[in-house]
Amino acid sequence: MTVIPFDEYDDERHIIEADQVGGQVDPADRKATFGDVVSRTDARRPIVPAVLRNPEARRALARWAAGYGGHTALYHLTRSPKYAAKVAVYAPRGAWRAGSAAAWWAVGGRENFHLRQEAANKNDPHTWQALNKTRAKESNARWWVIVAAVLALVVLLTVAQLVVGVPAVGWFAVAVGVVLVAARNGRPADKPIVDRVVTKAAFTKLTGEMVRKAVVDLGIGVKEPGQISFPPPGIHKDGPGWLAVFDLPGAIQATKVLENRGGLAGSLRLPVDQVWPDVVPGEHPGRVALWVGYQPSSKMGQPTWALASPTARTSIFEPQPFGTDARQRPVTTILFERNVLIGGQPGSGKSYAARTLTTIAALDPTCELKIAEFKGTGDFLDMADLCSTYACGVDDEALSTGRDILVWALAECERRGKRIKKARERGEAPLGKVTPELAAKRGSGLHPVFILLDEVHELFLAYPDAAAAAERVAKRGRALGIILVLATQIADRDSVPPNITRCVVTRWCLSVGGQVENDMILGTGAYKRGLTGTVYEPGVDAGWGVVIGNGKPGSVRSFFPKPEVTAAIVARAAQLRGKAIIGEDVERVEARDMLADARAVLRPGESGAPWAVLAERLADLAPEFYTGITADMVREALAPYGVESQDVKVGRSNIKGARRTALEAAQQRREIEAE
Amino acid sequence: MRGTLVATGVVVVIALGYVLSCIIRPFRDCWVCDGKAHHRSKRNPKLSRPCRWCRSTGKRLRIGRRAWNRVRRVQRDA
Repeated sequence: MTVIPFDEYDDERHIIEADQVGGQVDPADRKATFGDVVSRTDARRPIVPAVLRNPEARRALARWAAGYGGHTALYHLTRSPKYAAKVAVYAPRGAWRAGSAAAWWAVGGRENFHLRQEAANKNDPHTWQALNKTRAKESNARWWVIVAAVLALVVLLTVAQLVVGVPAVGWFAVAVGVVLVAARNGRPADKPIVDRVVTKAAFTKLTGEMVRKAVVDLGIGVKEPGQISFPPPGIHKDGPGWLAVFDLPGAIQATKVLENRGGLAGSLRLPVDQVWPDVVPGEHPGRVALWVGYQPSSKMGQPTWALASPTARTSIFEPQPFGTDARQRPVTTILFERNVLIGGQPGSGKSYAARTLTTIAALDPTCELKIAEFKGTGDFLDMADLCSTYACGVDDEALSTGRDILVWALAECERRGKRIKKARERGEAPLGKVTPELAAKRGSGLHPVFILLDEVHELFLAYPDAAAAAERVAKRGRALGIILVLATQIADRDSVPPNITRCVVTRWCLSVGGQVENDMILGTGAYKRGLTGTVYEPGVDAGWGVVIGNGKPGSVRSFFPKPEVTAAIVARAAQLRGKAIIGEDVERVEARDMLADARAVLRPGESGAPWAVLAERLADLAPEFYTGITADMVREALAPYGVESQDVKVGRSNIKGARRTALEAAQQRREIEAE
Repeated sequence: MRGTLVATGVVVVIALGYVLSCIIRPFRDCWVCDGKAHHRSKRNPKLSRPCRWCRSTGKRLRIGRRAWNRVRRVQRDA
């Protein structure tokens, strides 16, 4: 510390602390003590490899080994005559080669043969003689070696025959061995005796050079291959493929690479669905995780779905697999407290994606299913028997059933809210949520409900109020065990209101056309963060999509079992449920005209009514339809008719509500429009 | 017939043997000096003169080898 001299009474005195210059910054190295060593908790790698710990993987390994071994054996057996013929040709040649090589070595032919020939060519007897003398000297000893070896062999064979007593089979085996060795020695270097059993899928190893070249070729601002660095552990095997994690230089973001997956694949000379660039969540935005499969994913097939097992039984409270990622690892989800929005263009595999989730619910025997599909092709027809409500088509009946489901769900939320409250008072629902115990309890009325609305935009276009209902179900139903899954082609403002998309946590964006559609489903900014379904081709990449809101965001491909497996799964679900349908069908509620109802509930002489009062009276008027309606909902429902929120006098104060004049005017407008 | 066959076989074997000897033992003793490289005077054994045929090496190339060398030289020069 340096103190600038100052006057004791000087107010402007100040102390300047000099920076310490030099010295060590790093902490001093310290030898590890005994305590350090014994308290080490480094992750220990398992002794038994992962493939042997998993029974499914064990079976797969055994199946593969049996199949591969059997095929190889049969393959060689059928070709054994050919092999015998080849051996017959090559064995004498090999024996001759071996014998002549030994003799040639013994006479010392190799050493100066060409020099001696040159001397003979030039008629130079002196040189020839000198060279021959050298050869003869070496050759002498070599002949002794040959003689000794032959003697040793003879002695060995005699001892084997006379003392040990080798049976005839032994001699036969020795002869076969000698013949095979001779044949091996006699075959041309490029003609193996045994034919090739498998044609290996051609895959060149992914190298740093390839990755660097590919990224430079993309033309995204990387000029020199050396600008790309690979953080440890470098390029390594990861599942059935290679994983290259690399850093882009400067301010170039990983999304630039993701945008041009096709270019990357082209530069690597691989099919597009073999190349999977990805951002690394939790890392800086310039880091790319490039996974390159050994094969294109379309040819790789998919691992067996655990739910396809004949003893499968799920619980919506536990993680269940619904798809695989690019590296063939299963991706799981807990359906409870989850609402899912599935979006993608036609041919992207939406219905099957929705089906994988439905399967999880179907295999939980406590779960009620309500399915409405507005495509009309009967994608879920085989599950209709499991559902308490099933609607299919784009006709009025199907659409109104779809709306009824949502109305029922809203009313159910109301009922369940009360049941949960009671359960909480009893101490059975400590968090104010449905628990697995409550859900499984008979007669608790809290069993899980799985609602699937496929091609939901049809419903929302036909009944705008259904959209509001869906939004409220999504908001309220989560903790009450009501799971809402919406699948749609387009999630724009008109077909699926943004409020719904906002309330749905888990979104699964399958193949989409562009950034706008992508962000409608995944939320604004998803495309820029590299979460994009535009990389998938409809049809080719069917089932592939980006899932967010289910753990780490990433690519997921829904399971797509064969038709007979699908049938077996449905049969298993039916068996689990004992052929009984959980829950009851919804009441078909007559659609009500809210404007007319609002006018009807205004008492004579009233100039208007506040929204809350209207809501109360509507609920009294038609409880089956208006149960649970709130002031805000009434206001929102009447807004499309042009009924404004105005001050209504109640007693001395003014409260916002609907005036009779506004309602009448709206009615007249509607009549005029109807004409 | 059989005699002819045997005779042909013998001729072939001898020919092959000669070819082989032309390769591995191309030199033989000089036929003029019998491999001694010098001619000795019969009258005075202490006197001698070098063999001119073999240029006092005592060796001469086999005829086959000599012919073969000639053929190769002609071929090379052509």
